[in-house]
Amino acid sequence: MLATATTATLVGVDGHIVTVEVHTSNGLPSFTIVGLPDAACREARDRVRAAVLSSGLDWPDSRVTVNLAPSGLRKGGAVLDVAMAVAVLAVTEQVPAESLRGKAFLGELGLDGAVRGTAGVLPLTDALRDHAVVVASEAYHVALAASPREVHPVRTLGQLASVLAGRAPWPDPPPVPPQPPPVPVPDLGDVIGQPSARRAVEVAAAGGHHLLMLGPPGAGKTMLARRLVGLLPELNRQCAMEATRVQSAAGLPLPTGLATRPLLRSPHHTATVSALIGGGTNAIRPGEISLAHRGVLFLDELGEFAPSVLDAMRQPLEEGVVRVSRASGTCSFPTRFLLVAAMNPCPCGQAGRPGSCRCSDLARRRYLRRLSGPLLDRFDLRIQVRPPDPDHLLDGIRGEPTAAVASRVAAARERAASRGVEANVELTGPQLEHFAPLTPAAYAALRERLRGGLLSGRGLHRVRCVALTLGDLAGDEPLIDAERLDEALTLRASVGKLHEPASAGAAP
Amino acid sequence: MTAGAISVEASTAEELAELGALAVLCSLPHMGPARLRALLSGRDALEAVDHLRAGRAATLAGLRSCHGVDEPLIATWRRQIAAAFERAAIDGHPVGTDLLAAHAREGIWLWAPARTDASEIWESDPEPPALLFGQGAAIDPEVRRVGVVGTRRCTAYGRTVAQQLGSGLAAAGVAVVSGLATGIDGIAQRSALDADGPVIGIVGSGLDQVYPTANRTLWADVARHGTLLSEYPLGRRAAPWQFPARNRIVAALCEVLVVVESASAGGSMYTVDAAAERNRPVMAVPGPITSAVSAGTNRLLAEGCAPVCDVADVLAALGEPPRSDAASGSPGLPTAAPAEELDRRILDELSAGPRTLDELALQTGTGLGELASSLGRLQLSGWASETGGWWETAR
Repeated sequence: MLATATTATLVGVDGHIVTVEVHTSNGLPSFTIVGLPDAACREARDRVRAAVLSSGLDWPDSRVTVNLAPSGLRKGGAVLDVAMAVAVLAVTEQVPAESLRGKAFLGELGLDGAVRGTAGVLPLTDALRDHAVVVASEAYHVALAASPREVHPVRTLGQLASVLAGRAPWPDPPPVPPQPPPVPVPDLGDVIGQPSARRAVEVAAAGGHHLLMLGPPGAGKTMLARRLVGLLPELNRQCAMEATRVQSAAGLPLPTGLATRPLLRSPHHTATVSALIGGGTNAIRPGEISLAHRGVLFLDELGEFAPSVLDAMRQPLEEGVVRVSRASGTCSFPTRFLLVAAMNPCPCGQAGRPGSCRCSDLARRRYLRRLSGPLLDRFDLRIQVRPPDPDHLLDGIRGEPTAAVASRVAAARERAASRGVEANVELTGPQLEHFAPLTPAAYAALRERLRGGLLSGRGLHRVRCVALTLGDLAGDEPLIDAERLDEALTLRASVGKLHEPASAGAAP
Repeated sequence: MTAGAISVEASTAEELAELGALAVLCSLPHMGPARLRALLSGRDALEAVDHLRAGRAATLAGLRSCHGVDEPLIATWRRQIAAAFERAAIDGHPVGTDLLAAHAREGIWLWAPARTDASEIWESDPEPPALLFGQGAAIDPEVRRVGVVGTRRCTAYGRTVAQQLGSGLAAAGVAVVSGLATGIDGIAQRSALDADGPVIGIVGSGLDQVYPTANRTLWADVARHGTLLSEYPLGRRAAPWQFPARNRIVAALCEVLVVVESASAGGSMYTVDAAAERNRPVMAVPGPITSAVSAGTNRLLAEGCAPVCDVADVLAALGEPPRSDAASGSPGLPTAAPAEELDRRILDELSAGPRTLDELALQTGTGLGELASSLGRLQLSGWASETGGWWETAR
């Protein structure tokens, strides 16, 4: 006797269709799963059997063999439980075999027969788009986001068996969860004083420029990073889909289905390369840089991250995608995120203030050595953040609130969209030349700085990009004038350079 | 070759044997000037090597009185000396000939101040080095020498002054003596080199062990166009205690010592003490009382050191006539004050010390755009500079 059911398994952030074949034959009663199941998948034996029995259904007194095809693909997790159970029910003729045709089943089984949601429902449903997908009730809205042909939510295996046997209609979908009250995003108005930090956060949000904040602990760097997320506009459908796929694959909670707010991820500095970039031994999981896709990755204490971890971020930062290869296969994860980093340039708390810092050269070099030049070059905005003046704190005068700044950011992003990019940071050299030419004065100023060694060729493009964003925020003509350039340059502190005699010759 | 520089080819057999023995002693691990003096007091190097090899009680007693010399260290030294004798026996040369040859191959000459007649530099020196290793030109006694030293963590002000002194002294044909460190030392020597002036660099490690590595180019340039000196043989790594020892040689080689910027307990104060011990006049550059790296120099001024307000002050202390063509004034700074009112207000604010962009915006009450334009002007005209987000004026 043979029956089949369709389901899917997750590889990276992509779903792959899997056919569950169940065969029963005479012999000692047993239950075997073949076809490269991983540990969680192999444990399905016990769950499926218990769930079938708890649901008041019969378990065959014969040899049961389950094959997961294609057998070369490694299947992970408990998402195949329901498909195995219904195939067993079909092979024992408790439900008609035809009722499984055209349907796909996603879900984990509890011992009591409950159907539970699993990680990766969105990409899995996406892969099963041509099927009527049966999912756990709790995963209904996430599955719906993939817009498949049909989605049916079920709560228990018993319920599902009744529907398939034609004894009951499909249960009603769970009510649309009320739009959750806007998560209390901390308001930019709480940032008091610190005009350049506020400005840098606004520019970073508008242009997607990576931001590096230098300053002692307690200066408010983390506070600024949290407020930056609030300035970013809602994700459009395309971006939200990309972000949600990763978040779903990683098993993050997705109460409303599609994640439309950009996410802030702030991994601790002990993160390993695999945790940040993606990887893992059993299944290849997306890393923090992919979870922050279309959101913000905040690295506090940047200098404390292992240099190998930071350098591994360079290529994904540049290409917007990371290909993680393991012996078991290769996965691509999207990595377009806004990098915000904070560091304390020296241990004494003076943040490198010339003439006051008492740290040894060694201590300062130790910090800077961890940041390779190419990584530092990615930061278009680099600012010193000092603790706010106590007088300003007591005055209680609040800064401009998030709503006002966010509307400027949204307008600037719209202008960027009219150039065919999500944010100005993605503009290439020729595009920049086309969309934002330099005024003669700005051209002269840049030439003087390049000659004086105050700006590198690599820095030139970045500075022009930031200047364009500054113009977008002000609602100006996309023409880069000297004033915008000056501001872009002052928001780009020279980091990683100690007072070397070699630089003495560069002064005018 | 002048002032005692010895080339290996030009020396007699006895001289070579003595130099070889000295080189062997210098190459012993943890061997510094004080221990060498204890070894060489009342005997020449050949005798000292023999005594150490044979474990002569009187010599060892003198050594044991030195701080930090213990039996394992003496045992290590004796083993190494025995090995040196074995190598010498195989080659059939006096002990240490292989070391001399290794240095000669690298173009390094030797200078033994204690035994040559380099006179007025070392005659009254309390701690003359037994042997110096040199690269580049030998020291010309006709050229006047001024030490320019200071902190490694200098401000823009210190940088400007060090540049000004380096190029000013170079223009007056005076040699800049310094320690090739990061900060003031290196900047003064780089500026002197750029102005084609004579430079004498004294380092605290073997001549092949560049430290700090960031100064590799400067190190090579000093060896090529000036004089590079070390008390340590090839291969000796930098160690913390070797730098104060190096500073005494800076003090001994200069005729006037100028401290540009130094914290009150900075390494430059070793040089100052060593200079005072050797009756070298010490001068100091006044600085803002709010700056920690001017605390040392301001204290020196309070204690009676002459202030340096100009290169001419240093030349006067040397007894050199001020040269009209010598760069006095401020080569790093434009002469005309900035015209814009905001620029002047920013410079006023910066004259009290380094500021961040935020601090400037709040103090001057201007928007970031306007502030940025002003800072851009000041930076391009050389009035202000920025490092790690800190704005400074060189005024």
